[in-house]
Amino acid sequence: MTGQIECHNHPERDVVARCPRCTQALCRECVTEHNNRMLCESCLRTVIQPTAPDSKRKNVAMAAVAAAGCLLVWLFFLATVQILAHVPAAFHRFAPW
Amino acid sequence: MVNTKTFDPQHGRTAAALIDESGQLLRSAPAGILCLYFAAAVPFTAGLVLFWTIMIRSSHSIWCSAAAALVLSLLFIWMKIGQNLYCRQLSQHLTGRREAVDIWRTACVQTAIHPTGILTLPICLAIALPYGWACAFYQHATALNSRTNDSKLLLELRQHAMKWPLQNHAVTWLLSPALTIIGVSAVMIMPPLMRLINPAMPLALQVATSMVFIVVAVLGSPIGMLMSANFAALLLLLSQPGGESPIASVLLQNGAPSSTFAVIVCCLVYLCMDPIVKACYVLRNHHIRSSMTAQDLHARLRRIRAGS
Repeated sequence: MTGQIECHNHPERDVVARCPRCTQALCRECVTEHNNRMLCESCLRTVIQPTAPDSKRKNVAMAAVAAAGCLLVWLFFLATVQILAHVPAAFHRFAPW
Repeated sequence: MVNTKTFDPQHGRTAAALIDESGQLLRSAPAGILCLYFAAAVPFTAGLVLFWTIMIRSSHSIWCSAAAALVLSLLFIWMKIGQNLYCRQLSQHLTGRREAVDIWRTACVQTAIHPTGILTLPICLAIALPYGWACAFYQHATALNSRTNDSKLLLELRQHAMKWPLQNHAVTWLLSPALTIIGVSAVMIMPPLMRLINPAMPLALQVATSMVFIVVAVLGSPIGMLMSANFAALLLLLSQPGGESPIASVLLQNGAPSSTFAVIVCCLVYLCMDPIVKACYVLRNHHIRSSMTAQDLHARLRRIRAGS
């Protein structure tokens, strides 16, 4: 089926798939499906883990979004102060009738 | 120990069962977890009361207002991060599985998601219908834990918010502090608003209008309004109407409760109800994940293994 009968990690086992990235032959235990592709463990780790610059860029993007969130909350409370300043005094006193 | 009976994966548990289970979860959790919640929420609520009291009493320069708003917004962010840590602790207590917390990621995610809630939640509440789902979205965002992948975060939050709508809406109706705040505000604001619209309004009509708003507020948030009435009575006793104590000067204005009084009542209700709401959403999160990953069975096995 794959041109090799022994698993790369387990020579005593039958091969069921070949990793499309490293072309190693793999048994059922050594293969994992990811995005409709059958990958070996090391290739899967490479695919899933972001590279260092990617991770840094992601952190910077997250920090930027968080900073925008802080700004939004600050503007909300600042607007609340401005609204409060224009609310008539009658609204600050609970006199139902 | 927390009750982890099997549940119906199609409809989830009833809201009453979920609230009951959240009560059991809080009772069985170490006191430190609840202390963590209050360490996060009390600074913001105290800051809000102080901010409100100062801002309504005198006019301030824009710089002073901006500085006060900045402090309050930082306290809000602190509260949201602390609430997420509280939910993680509850989740760990529930599943018995320790998880490392990435504080930087937690702070960024919470700071990115929750500020949008202060705009979207009032809009959703104004159009009434999507409020329950929007509220669930933000509550699930607080109950997030490290198992949630960044790239699928919003999708997962949306899926969790849409799951078991009847249970979610019932919990929101019974326990949402936001509905109580709206109810207290309506009861407080509507009478002067009616007088402003029609200064010659007869007394009987004023009484009837106030009663209508009180009834609507109680129907909108029964537990919260009951709690508000209790806190209001307690604060009125403390302020000794007619007296000249410093508390009375803050809580009363010409013998009638001031808006600071209403803000304090709302903050107290929030501090009482919100830990239970968060526990409910931690459980909802756990049940939803369990229906996909059998997380509840793993937790139960872990507990049995720990007991043997």
